[in-house]
Amino acid sequence: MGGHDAELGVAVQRAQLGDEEAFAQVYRLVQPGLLGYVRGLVGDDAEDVAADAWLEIARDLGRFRGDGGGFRGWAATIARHQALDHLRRQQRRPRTYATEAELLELPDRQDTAGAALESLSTEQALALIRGLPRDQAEAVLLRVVVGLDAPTTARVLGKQPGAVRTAAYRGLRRLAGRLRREAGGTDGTDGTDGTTG
Amino acid sequence: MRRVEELSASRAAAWAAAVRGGDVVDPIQEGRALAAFREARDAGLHDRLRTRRRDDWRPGAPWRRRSARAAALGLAAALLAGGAAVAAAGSGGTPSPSTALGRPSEPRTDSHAPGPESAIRSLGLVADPAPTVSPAPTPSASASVQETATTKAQKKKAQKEVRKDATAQRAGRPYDRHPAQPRAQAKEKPASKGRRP
Repeated sequence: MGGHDAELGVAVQRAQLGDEEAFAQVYRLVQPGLLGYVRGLVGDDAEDVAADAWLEIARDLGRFRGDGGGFRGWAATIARHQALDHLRRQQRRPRTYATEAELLELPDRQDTAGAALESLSTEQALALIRGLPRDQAEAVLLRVVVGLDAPTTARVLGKQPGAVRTAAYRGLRRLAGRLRREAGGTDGTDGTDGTTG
Repeated sequence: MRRVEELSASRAAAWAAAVRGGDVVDPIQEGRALAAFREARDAGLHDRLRTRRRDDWRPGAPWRRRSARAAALGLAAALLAGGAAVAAAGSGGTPSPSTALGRPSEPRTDSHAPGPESAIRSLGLVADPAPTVSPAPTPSASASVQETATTKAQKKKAQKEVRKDATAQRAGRPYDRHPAQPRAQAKEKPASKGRRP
C-alpha cells in the first residue's frame, strides 16, 4: 500500500500538470479498490456509479491537494457521494442478489484454505460482508479494499478515527470468522482461532 | 499463534483481492475516464477550478487542524469537569482520580487485549501502522495534569474560605451565608496555609 501510495502521489502530480499517461496510471492504481468499495455499497450498479465518480474525478483533478493516500480518500469520498445519490434515486437499500447460503456454496475442494479462498468469486467475497452492519462494512471496505489509513477513512465517513477503528476491528473480526468457516475447517485443527475478544 | 495470524492475513488478502475483482480494469471504462480527463484539461478546468475545503487532503489541512482543536477542547472539558468534581466533592473527602476524570471507575484488566489497530495489523492489512495524531493524552500525563488542576482548585478554595471566614467574623454573622459549610472543615483547610489567626 505504502509503495503504491508514493507512486500514486507522483502520478497524480503529473496528471495535474496535464500528463494523460499519468492519469491512466492513476486510474489503474485506484479503480480496482474504488470499484470494490462501490460494489459493497450498491451491488450490481457499481460499474456505472464508479464511472460517474471518475467523470467527476477527471473534471475536478485540478482542485485536489494532497499525497497518494489523500487522493485515495478524496476519490473514495466522491465515489461514496455518487453511490449514496444513486441509492437515493433508486429509493432502495444496498441490494442483495441471492441468499448468502447460495453464494457461499464453494467448489468442492478441500485441499487447503488458501485454495478454497482463491476460488472466491467477487460475488461470494461481497456476500461475506453483506451481513455486517453498514458502518462496519464500510470501515472494512475502505481500510482493506481501498487501502486507507484510519484518519483518512474517518474523514471519508465523517466520523471520529476512534469510531472507525472500532468499527473496522469489529467488522474484521466477524469477517475473519466467516472466512474461517469458508475455508472448510481444514485448518481448524490447530486448536485456536486467533481471536481473543 | 503466529501461524494463525499469518493464515488470517492471507485469507483477508484473498478476500480483498476478490472484492477488487483481481485488480483488473475494464479498458472501455478506462477509455471513458481518459476522455473526460482530456476534455477537462483542454477546457482549462484543471487550472481554473479552485480548491475547496473538501479537496484539501494535505497533512495539516483544515480538517486535521479541526480535529486537533477538537482534541484540545476535549482535554479542556475534561479538566473543567475535573475541577467541578473537586468543588462538588469539597466536603466529601478526596475524590478518586477516576471520579475527577468523569470516567466510570470500573476496573480495567484488559490492558493486554488487542485493540482495533493491533487486530488490523495482525491481519497484515496495514502496511504502515498509521503514525498519526493520538488525540488522547497518555494516562500518566493526564493524571499529572489532573493532579495539578486538583491542587490548584483546592488552594483557591482554601483561600476563598479564609476570606469568607474573615468577612463573616467581622460582620458578626459567622457562616450564615454558607450554612452548608461545616465549621470544622472550614477551619481545617486554611490551617495548613498558616494564615488563620
